[in-house]
Amino acid sequence: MRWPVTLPAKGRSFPIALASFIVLQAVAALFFVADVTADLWTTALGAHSVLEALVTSVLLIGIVLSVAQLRWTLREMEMQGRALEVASGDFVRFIERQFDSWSLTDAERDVGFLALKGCDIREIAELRGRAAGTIRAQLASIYSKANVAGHPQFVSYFVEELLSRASERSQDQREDQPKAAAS
Amino acid sequence: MIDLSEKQDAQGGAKIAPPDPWDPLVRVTHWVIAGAVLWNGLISKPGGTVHVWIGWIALVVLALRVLWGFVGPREARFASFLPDPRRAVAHLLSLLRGRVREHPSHNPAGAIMVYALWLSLALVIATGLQMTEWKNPVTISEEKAAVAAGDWSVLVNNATESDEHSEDMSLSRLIKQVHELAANLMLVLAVVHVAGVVVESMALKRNLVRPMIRGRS
Amino acid sequence: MSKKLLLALTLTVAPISAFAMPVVGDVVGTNPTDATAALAEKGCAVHDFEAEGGKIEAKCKDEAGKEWEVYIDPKSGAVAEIKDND
Repeated sequence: MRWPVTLPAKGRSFPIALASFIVLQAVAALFFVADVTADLWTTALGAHSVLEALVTSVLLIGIVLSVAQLRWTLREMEMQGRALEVASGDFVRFIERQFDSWSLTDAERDVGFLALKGCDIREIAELRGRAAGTIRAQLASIYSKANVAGHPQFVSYFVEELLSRASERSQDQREDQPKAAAS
Repeated sequence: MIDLSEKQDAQGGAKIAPPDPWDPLVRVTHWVIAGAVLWNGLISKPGGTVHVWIGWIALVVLALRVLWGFVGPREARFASFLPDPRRAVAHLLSLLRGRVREHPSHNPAGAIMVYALWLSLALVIATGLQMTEWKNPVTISEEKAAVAAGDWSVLVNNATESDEHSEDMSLSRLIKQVHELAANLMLVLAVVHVAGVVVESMALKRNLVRPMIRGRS
Repeated sequence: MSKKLLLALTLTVAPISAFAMPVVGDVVGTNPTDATAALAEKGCAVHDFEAEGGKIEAKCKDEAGKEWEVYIDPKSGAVAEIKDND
């Protein structure tokens, strides 16, 4: 599980506060449980003991509910984080698969990835330690293999894919909610 | 060649590693127990009021962690790091070679350490409870106050069924020895644990303490 | 019981002390005043009482100035254990 980086600071401190509070509740509950057990052990069942036992049960139920709430909160955060991760990880895998299917060379894969990230020819040349002419030639080869006219079309090929996946995913998430809650 | 696989593992998700940071209950229980063991093992007077208070808090926190080991998030559950001595030894051997693989939760050697620590703690707590006749810290501090004021009858009033066993000093001596032995064992294990975390951090080239505190911000 | 056996038994239940000391089984009393007096008479000067493990822990010094912990059963007033304080 990762804390989603987009979550505000308040979103992260709540689970910690809840976890700490659960510990406090549990310490308090222990004393009540010990007290009630000792009472029931030594003295007969009186109204006082019964009342204490009821209060202690309420305290214990409170802890169970807090633990359940913490669990639920963590799961929600995990799902959000995973959605983000999967979105980016999945996309990278898609790009790799496409580059594979176009039989790009190793150098062309690197250049193509940098071009998708938005680097211009000069920047790519600097990063790769090659001449601008070499990069231009490599990009031309990529566009030819990908069967696209030029840089804008190359980029839009992948943007279209990302957009269609985004709409698919929000569909899946809505379907996944009940499944996730049941697991 | 830019390594795009950094973002992927067999499932196509993120790299395998324990959560960063660990969930808040794991973190809170870890440091409370660590603090309790150190304070009671090294600082507080054995049998004193503070010592008993901390022992009871450790009992509760350990119970919480055990509960969480069944209902918590996946990496926090015992099922994610079951004890496996064979794999633990294999892990230690690969540590010696300086290369270890990642695990989604505690690594096999770390898992053995965790179980050893929890079992020792349970033993310390059980013997401690027996030595204080299962009285809670509030009762104990009341008794101490009464005796300090000169009233011994409070002990007689609070005595449980231990009267028949009051002559059996050899059993209570044994319990005391087990308590001290287990407590000292925990302190030794704690040192080994810290060393293990350092060595593992070096092998993985990652600060393993940080996920147990706040993780990456 | 022969004197030798009795002596051996006494030595096994009480820690070794060069000076007179109370022994396990001695009844010293169920309140601080009685216990202090009885223990002093047996050779150990009490300076503090504490509750521990359901018993009374009497901290006292013998004639050599050595510290001892004498555990007293609060119900019977008998010495249950004597420990070296080291």
